[in-house]
Amino acid sequence: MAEVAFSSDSILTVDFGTATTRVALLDVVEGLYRFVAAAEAPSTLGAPYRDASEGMRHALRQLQDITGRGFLDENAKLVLPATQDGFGVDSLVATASGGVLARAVLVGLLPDVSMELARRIAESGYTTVMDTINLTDRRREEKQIDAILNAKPHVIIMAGGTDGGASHALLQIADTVSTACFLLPGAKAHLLYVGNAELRDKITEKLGNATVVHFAPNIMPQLSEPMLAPARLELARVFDDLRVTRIGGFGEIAHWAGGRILPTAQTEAQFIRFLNNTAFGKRGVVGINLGSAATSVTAVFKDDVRSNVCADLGIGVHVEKLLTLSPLDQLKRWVPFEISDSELRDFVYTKGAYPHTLPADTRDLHLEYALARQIIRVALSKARHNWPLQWAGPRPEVLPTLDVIMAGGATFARGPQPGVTALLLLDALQPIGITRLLVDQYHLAAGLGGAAYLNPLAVSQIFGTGAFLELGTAVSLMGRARAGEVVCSGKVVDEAGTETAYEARAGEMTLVPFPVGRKGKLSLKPKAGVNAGFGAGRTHTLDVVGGAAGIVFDARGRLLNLPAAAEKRFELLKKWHTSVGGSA
Amino acid sequence: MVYVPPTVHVNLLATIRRDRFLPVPGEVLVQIQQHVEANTVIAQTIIPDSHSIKQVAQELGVPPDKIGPFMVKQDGEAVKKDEPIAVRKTTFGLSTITVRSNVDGALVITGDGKALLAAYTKNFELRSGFPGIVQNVVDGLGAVIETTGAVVEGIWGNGKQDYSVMRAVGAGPADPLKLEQLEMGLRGNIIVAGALLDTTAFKRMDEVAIRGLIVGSMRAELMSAVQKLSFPVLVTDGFGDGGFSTVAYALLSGNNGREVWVDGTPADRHTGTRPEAIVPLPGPNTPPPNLASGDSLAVGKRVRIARGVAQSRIGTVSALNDKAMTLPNGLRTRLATIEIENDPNNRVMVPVANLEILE
Repeated sequence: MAEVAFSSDSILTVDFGTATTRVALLDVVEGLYRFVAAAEAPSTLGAPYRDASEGMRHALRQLQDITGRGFLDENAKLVLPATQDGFGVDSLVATASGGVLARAVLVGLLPDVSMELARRIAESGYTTVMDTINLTDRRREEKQIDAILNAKPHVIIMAGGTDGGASHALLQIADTVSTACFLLPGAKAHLLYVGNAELRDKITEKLGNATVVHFAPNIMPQLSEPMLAPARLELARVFDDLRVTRIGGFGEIAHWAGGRILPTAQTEAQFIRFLNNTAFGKRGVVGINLGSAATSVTAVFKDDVRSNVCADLGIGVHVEKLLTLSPLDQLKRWVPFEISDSELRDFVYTKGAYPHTLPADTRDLHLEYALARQIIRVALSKARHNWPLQWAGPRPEVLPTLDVIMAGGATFARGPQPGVTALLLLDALQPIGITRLLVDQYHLAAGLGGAAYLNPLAVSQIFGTGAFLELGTAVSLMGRARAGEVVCSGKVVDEAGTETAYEARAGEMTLVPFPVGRKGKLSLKPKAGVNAGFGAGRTHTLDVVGGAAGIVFDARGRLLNLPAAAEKRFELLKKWHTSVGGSA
Repeated sequence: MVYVPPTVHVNLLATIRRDRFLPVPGEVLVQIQQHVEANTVIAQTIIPDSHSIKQVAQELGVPPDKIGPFMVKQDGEAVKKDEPIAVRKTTFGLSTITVRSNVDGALVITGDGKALLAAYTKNFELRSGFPGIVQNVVDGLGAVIETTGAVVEGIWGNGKQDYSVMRAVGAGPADPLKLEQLEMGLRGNIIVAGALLDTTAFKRMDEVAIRGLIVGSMRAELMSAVQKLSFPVLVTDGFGDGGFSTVAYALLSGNNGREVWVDGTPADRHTGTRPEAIVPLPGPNTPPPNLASGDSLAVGKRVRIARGVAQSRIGTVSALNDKAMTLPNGLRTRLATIEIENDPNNRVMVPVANLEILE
């Protein structure tokens, strides 16, 4: 087996979010890479700074206070590489989700083939699709031109034809796009061409003057499996270009980072893939990142990675978008007290107006967590459209069994009690069977995903050292039972032989304390007809690790069926909240 | 540890500079140091309304790459409806084939045997918005206008702008706008009211022909109806029935009867622009300071509380925790102690994330 070469250098990661810029220091301690410390500061991508590096400096000064290590020279420049006396860092990994929400127009031949694939490419990045043009478009050419002009696209993704296949129709559409782009005021739009590779020269000829042309391999080279990964990478480069040209400081930071600022969603997907390939990987891993302006969902099953970004749906800046994607009732069902539609809508818009704010009291927390639950449900539903059919759960609306759910974003990292955070994740994703719940408490996933390209060993070593919060092992039970009936019982035995018996009752949440760092065996004896992940009524004993919330039994059924009667629903939501340690 | 919260400007007297730019390039009509009034047209342009394509080669009966000699209008040239853009005499000159423009506008571009025409229906005139001095001109785009005066930044606007005399109605900072408050004497004025909670006054506002509305808060469910109103609406503090913060209300009611510029252009995080109201005021001999942004949170800073039970209250930071503390709801975060203004016995602990520096 070939040895993996790596250097024992310090790594600084920086992630530029819409609301927050986060830095983390990774370094070698006693021969192994360790996460040393993290810090954060409000992002400065917008006014009055309009310079990403300012927020990075604020965060680095905090990191300096925490670690006692200097990072900036007297001119406030990052010291890179580190000096002999340990000042500065040896490498920088930069990622960004904030700053660019690219308006996209999708162009292709057939809605169900090339357009669908182009949409999946667009949804892997921070784009909002403004319009689509394809062969079935009934608008006249001039109307299509007006549509492109109205869309004011930053990027046009053009797909269609297998290699050596259709050409005439695509070139005709290219003429329309070329005319429209010629008329677009301001900076040239970027054109990402991912269609019939034989047309590249003609595409350059037609669109080279009016757009900045990027090429990626055909996403449908043959009429078989699509090939999306190279196109996603190229789209990431387009974002990189857009950021560097539109936001101050990114050029310098990209230079420090070896020429690239990677999209956060892409590097997080890389990290989730790493988790699946190295740490887990029997069934599948899902990562959620609930950001201020965007929500991403990455799923990996057997090395097939599906990443989906809801670029204009987050829990801060774009939170009001939720009300256009989901009826108000769907949000309201998660609120454990009476609230009028009007007041709830006011809450959502006020949150959008003050996206950086935090829940100040328990009522406010319930409202914020209701938002989080519903945003994730919407993002998950959109992401699942891009999942292959074989990833279905036992019923279409239920998730397939997962090894791990990893949650990122300030909502999780600042979670009040571990059980409350676990409940939020279980409500939002509603997994089945046995699932380990992890929280990216220091926002490391994006940076580690980026570092994995350079130094996979560092990522592997850091993951194993507790940098991610082990929330616990969730046991999600499915089956029919009367409320309050014992649906699963058994015991958990730790390595010292200490036994803790438990009973999970239908309709209830049960926490069994099993602290972080502890290992043991969990025996499951589900009632006949109830499935704990190993078949209805089948008993099983498995290895478990401890977590901040312990072992979490969710016996509320799948999908979770909240009572329509408000008082009964309030009672249940409050009961679940307090039974996992939440304040009343 | 350094924390830089957002800055909100509610300022009694400052030097204010605003970019006034066209949406598409055009002609700038003012010069640096020129004095402008609110209604001075500082730049103008023509906004293409729509495009149309003429199949020139097909109509002339020539190959697509051979239309050049037959074009009587060139790219960029203005055209009138029914005016010829291409003419071809047939063999022996017995007859003429004419391709005519179907729009009033311009021939944008020809190629592939086709001509793209733009219909111009919108003459767009950009006005200064408020009286001031032209500080800078950006060729083809617009100008930077400077004035002195009071400014109140808001959180939401309906995208419209206007300038007129400001009149406050109602009994206080949270008093909702009522139908009966809209007397005919308010005709042509910009109204200041605590909150907008329903649509009952909308018809009356049209009858009275008010020129704008500034409210402390508004029900979010009214948003789409408010966007359809013909005049600007500015919300300064929040959604709901909370009304104005005391400082915003004091500034606006204190300038009752003066002229105000209401800009309901939505907030843009990238440029830092917010919807706002500007009350031009004569400056002292020494110009007042420019509006500042980007200060760090520190003891002594004046702040507005953006969320929680004390939302929209104004106060001063009296202590700042460096370490995170646990709130009663379980969240761990850095807190600041705020002494609420005009309420000496009211001291509250607030997450620093819920504060805005007030300038």
